Amino acid sequence: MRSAVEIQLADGHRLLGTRHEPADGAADVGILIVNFGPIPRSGVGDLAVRLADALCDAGRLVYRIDLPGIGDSDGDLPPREEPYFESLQRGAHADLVAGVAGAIAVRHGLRGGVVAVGLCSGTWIAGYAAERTDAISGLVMLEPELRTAPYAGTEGVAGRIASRVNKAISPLAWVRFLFGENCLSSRLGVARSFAYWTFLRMVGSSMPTDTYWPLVASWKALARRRLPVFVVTSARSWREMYVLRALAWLDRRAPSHRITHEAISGTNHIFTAGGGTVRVLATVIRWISESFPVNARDGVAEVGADV
Amino acid sequence: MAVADSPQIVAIAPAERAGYSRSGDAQVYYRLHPPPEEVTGAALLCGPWGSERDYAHGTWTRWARALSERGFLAMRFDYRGMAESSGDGGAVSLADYVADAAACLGVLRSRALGIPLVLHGLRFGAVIVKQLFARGDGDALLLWDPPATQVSAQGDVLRYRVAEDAVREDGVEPRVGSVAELMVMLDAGSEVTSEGHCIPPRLWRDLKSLVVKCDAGDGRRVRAIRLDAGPKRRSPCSVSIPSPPFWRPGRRLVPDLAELFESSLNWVTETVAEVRR
Repeated sequence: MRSAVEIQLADGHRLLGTRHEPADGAADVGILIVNFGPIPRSGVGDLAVRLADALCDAGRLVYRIDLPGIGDSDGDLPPREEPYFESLQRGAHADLVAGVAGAIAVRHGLRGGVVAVGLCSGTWIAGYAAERTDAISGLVMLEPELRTAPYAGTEGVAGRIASRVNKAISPLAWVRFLFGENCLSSRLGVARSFAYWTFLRMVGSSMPTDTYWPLVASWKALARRRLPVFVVTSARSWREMYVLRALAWLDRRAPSHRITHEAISGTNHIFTAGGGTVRVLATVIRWISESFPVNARDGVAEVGADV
Repeated sequence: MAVADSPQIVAIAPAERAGYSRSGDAQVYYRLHPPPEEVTGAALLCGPWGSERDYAHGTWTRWARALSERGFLAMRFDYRGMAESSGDGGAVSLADYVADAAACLGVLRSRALGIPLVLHGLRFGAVIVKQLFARGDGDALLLWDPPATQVSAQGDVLRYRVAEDAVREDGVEPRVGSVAELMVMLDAGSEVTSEGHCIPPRLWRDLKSLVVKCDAGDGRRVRAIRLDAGPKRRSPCSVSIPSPPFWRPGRRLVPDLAELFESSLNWVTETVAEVRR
C-alpha cells in the first residue's frame, strides 16, 4: 500500500515522499531511498519504485523522498546541473537526509535504524548522511561516482565551442569511449577493446587524478565504523574502475570494513539496459535480506498515528 | 540510537495536495495545484510517457504552478503502472490510460463545479486528452508537441531503446539494431522495454488502430503547439525551446520556457474568459 507523505522542515519547506507500508507490519529496519540525481523520487525507469515495491512485498517499510527542488517538493534548483552536482558533492542535503532517517526511525520504532539507498549522486548524499547519524544503519550505493563533478560550462556559441574542445581533450570523454559509453565506441569495437586493456594496464591500481577525495574519505569513515555498505556497479564501466581502486585503497587502510561490491554485466549507468533492472533489484533485495534479516517485532511500541 | 535534529512527518498540507484516485485495481497518483485566491478555471494535465515523464517532471510541475498562479486549479497525474501510480505497466491498454485520466477528471470536477475546464496534453499525453475531448469532456484543448500519428507517440521511445543498446556491453539480453526491428517485435506480440519502461503489445495495437479527431466540430477551442528544440522555428505555429528538449536528459535543470509558458497562459486565460462569457 502506497501513501503520500509530507515532511515538514524547520525552515518551513516541505518535502514530499511516498511510503510503502507492508500489509502485515514492518520489520525493525526501514529503507529510505533518496533521489537519483535531479530525477523525481520514482527514479529513471521507475527503478526506485520497483525496488520499494519489492522490498515492501518482502515485509520492509520503505520511504522514497523528493529532496528540495526536485519532484513534488518545494524549493528551487539552479538553471544548470553543474553547480547542483558540485553542491551535492560538497555535502548539500546530507544533514536533511540524516534528519529524515532519524524521524522515520523514531516514528516507526525501527530499532535497527534505516538503510539508505542512492544511485549516482544519490550515493554522495546517502553516504555523507550516514556519517552524520547512526540512525542510518546500512547503505546501498548504486553506481557511485567518485570523480570530481565537472565544472560549470558557459552559454552561447563560445560555450559550445569550448564544450566541443573540452570534450575532445577531456580524459573523461576518452574514458567514456574506452568503456563503451558513447556511439563512437560501438562503431570501433575492436580498436576500443585493445585501447581499453592497454589503458587499464597503464593506470595500474592508483586512484585516477580527478578523484574527489572527500568522497573517498567519507567511505573511509564508514569503513572504520564497520557500517554495512553494498556497492553495485555496471560491470566494466568507468565508474567501476574508480570503485575497485577505492576498495583496494580501503583494504589497506581499514581492512575490517564491511563494504561489499557486485557488478551487473551488460547494462548501463541507470540499470535500464539489457535487463539490468531485474538483476539489480534481485541483488539489492538479497543483500538487504542477508544483512538485515526480518525480525519479529514483539515488544516494539508503535510511535505516532498514521498520517 | 542517536537521531539528528528530526523533521516532523505530517499529513499533506492544504496548499498543493497529493492523493490517489481509484482506477480499476490501480492507485492513480495525482497532485492538485490550487490557486492562491479565487478559482477561475481548471486544467487537467496529461503528461508524457515513460522516461520522458521523468525528465519532463520539473517543467511539468513548474507549468502546473504557473497555471495555479493565474487562477487555475491544475491537476497532474501519473498513468497506472508508472512512477507514483500502482498497477501492472506490462498489461495496460490505451483504454486504461484514458480511464485513469477520466478518474482524475472526476476528482477535479468535484472540486471545480461549473468552472471552465481546459484539457492539456504533452506528447503522449496529447493522445489521451484528445480522446477525452472527443467524447465531450473539457471546454478547450491545449496540446504541446502532439505526435504526428498515434504510433509515432511511441516512436521516440523506441529510438531511445536502440540508443540504449548501442552503448552497452553485451549482456543477458540480445541487442536490437533498429526501430523497425522493435516494431516487428511489438507487431508479433512481444513486449519491448525502453529505458526501464515496458511497452505492452496491447498498447501498441491500440495506438495503431486509434483514430481520433482533434477538432470535435462543436466550436470548442483547440490549440496545438509544436515544440522545436533549438533556436530555429520550423513553422508559424511552433515555439522554439532549448535543446535537448525538456523531456530528454540534458544539463539544463530549469530550461528557459518563458515564451512557451507565456503564450500558453495567455491562450488558456483568454479561452476561459470567453467560455465564462
